Amino acid sequence: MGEAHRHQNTMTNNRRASAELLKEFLLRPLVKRTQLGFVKLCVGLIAKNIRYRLNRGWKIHFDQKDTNAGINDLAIDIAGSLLGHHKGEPYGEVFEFFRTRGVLEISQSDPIHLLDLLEGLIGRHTQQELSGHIGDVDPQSNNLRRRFKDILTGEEYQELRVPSDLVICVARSTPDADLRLDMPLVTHQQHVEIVEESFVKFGDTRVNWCRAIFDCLDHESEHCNCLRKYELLNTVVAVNMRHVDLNSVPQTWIPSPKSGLLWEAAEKARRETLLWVSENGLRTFIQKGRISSEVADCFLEATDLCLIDLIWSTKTAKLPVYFREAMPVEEHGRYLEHYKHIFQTTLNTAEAYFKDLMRDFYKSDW
Amino acid sequence: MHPDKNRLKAFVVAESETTGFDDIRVHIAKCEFCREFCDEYQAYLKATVDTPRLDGSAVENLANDLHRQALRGLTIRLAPLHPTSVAPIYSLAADGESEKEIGVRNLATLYSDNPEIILRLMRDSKQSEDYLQLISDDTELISNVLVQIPDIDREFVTDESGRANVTVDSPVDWNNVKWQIKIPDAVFQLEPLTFDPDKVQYSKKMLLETDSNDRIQVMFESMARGKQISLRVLELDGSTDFDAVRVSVSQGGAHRIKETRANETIVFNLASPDEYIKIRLFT
Repeated sequence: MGEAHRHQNTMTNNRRASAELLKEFLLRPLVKRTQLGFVKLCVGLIAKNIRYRLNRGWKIHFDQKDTNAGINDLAIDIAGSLLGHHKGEPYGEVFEFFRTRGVLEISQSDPIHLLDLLEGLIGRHTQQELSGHIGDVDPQSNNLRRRFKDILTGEEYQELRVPSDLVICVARSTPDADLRLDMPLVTHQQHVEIVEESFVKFGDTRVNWCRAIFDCLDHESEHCNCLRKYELLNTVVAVNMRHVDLNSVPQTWIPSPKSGLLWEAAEKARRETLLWVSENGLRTFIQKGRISSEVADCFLEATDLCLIDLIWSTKTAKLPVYFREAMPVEEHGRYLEHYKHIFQTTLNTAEAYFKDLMRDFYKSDW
Repeated sequence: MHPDKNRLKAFVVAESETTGFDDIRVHIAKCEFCREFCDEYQAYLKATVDTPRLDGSAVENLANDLHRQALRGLTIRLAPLHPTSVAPIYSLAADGESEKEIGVRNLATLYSDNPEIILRLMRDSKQSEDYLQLISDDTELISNVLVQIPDIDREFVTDESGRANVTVDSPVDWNNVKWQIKIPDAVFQLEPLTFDPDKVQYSKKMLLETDSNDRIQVMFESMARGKQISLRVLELDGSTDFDAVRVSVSQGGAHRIKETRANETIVFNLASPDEYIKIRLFT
C-alpha cells in the first residue's frame, strides 16, 4: 500500500470516528463522556480553521506573543460562544443549525453528513467571530474583489450613470450593445438570480462568468442592460466565496411573497432616504461652503452604497470603505483631515432615517 | 456544471494518484473556481498538521462549564430497568424459625440514558431502613440532587455520594410509581458555623454568589434559644424576576426544604454548628 493510500485511510478513519462521536453526542447531549469528546472535536476544528486562515494571509490579533497559545485561547473562546445556551436550549445554536438544514431525525442521519454540516457551522461561526480580530475585510474577499474589478474596468466593459439611479453602473462596451437606458434596473432579487444562474451554467473562469451575466441580462428586455457596479461586485464576490469556501452550507432563505414586498419597501425607503439626504444635509453643507457639489454627489453615492449593504446584507462596512469606494483616489488621503465629520454625519443620519422608514413599514399591516 | 464538493475533496485527499478522478482532472484543468477550491482544501489539510496541540485542561474546563449549564435545573425522568417485585413475607407456624434475611436487597432499579444514571432502591434489613442510591460517572447528577416521587408527593435530597434515606407513611408499590431527579439550579456550601461562645447573641450576614450569577443573602444567628440561618434569594441566573424557588438546607444527614419567592426571607434552624451547610436552590 502506498504512502498516499495509507494517509487517505488514516484520514478517512479519523473522520469516521469523529462523525460517529458527533452523532452520539447529538443523540444524547447530556452524557458527559460524549459531551467532552464533542467539545474537543469542536475546539479542534475551530483551531484548525484559525490556523488555516492564518496560513491564507489573515492578520489575526492575539493577546499572547506565542501564536500557538493564541490559537488555543481563541479557539476556546469561540467554542464557548458557539456552544453556550441559545434561546434557552443547551447547545441551542448547534441543534437549531441542524434542524434548519433539514436534520430532523438524528438517528436516521448519516454521521459523515452531520460532520460536514458541523464543519460548515464551525467555519461560518469562526469567520464571524474572527471579524472582530482583523481589519475591514478578510484578505480573500479583498483579493477577489480586486480581480473582478480588474475585469469590469477592462476594455469589454464601461462605467456609466443611468437616469433611474444614483450610483455608478457597469455595462458592456461593445458597439452593438443595446443598453436600454430608459428602462429600470433589475431588482436585487433578479440580479442575484442572474449572477447565480450564470455561475452554475457558464462559470469556468471569472472572465466567462462576467460575460455570461451580461448575456443573461440581454434577455431581460423589460430592464436596463446595466448593473450597479457596487452591487455586482458584492454579489460575484459572495457567490465566488461561497464556492471556494470549504465549509459552505446550504442556504435557508426561501423567497416568499412577503419577502418580495419587503424588498419593494426597502427599495422605496432607499430612494426616499437619498432624496432626503440630498435635500437636507448635503444641500446645507454646500450652502455653508463646507463641501463642493461634486463632493456632495460622491457622498450621496457613498450613502447609497451604505444603504445597499444595509438592505442586502443587513450590516454595513466601516464608513471609510464607502468613502474610498465613492470618492476619487486623490481625495482618499484627506479623509481624516477634511471630510470625516461631514461624511460620518451624512451616513449616520441616512441610516437612521432609512431605519425609521422601515420601522414604519413593519408596523403597517403588510 | 461544477463537480460535487465532496468529490473534489476526495480528489485532493487522494493526492491525485488514485484512479477514478479523470473527470475531475479534466474539469479542474479548465475551471479556475474548482481549481481554487482544491487549493483551499489542500491548505486546510495542511493546517491540520500545523495546528498546535490543544490545551487539554482548558478544553475540559470549558466542557465542564457547558455541562453544568446544560444540567442546571434539569428534571430527569426515570424508567424502570427491569421490574422486580418483593413479595410480602407471610410466616406460618410450620415454617419454623425463618432464616436470617439477607442484609441488603434491591427493591427497584430505574434508569435514564440521557444523561446516563441509575437509581437503585434498596432495603437494608439489618438497619431496618430503605434507601436510594444514585449511580453515575457524573457526580453532578448524583450529589445534592432532589429525587422526587410526584405520585405520592415525596422527595429526598441525596448526599455527596448520591444516597438518601427513603421514608414513606404507607406501603408503596415501588415498581409502579414514577421517579424523577431534579438537578439544583445553584449549590452553595458554607464552612462550619463559627461563633463566639462567650457571646449570648451573635449574628453574621453574608452574600454568596455562583459563577452563573445566582445570589443569596445568608444571615447566621446564634441566640439563647438555638442557632438558625435566615436566607433570601436575591438573583437567579442574573435575574431578580423569578417565581417560587425551593431551598434545601442540609447539614450532615439532615435536610430541610422550604419554598420562597423574591424578596421573602425564610428561616432554618440548625441542628449542629459543627457541620458544613449545603444550600441548594431548585426552580
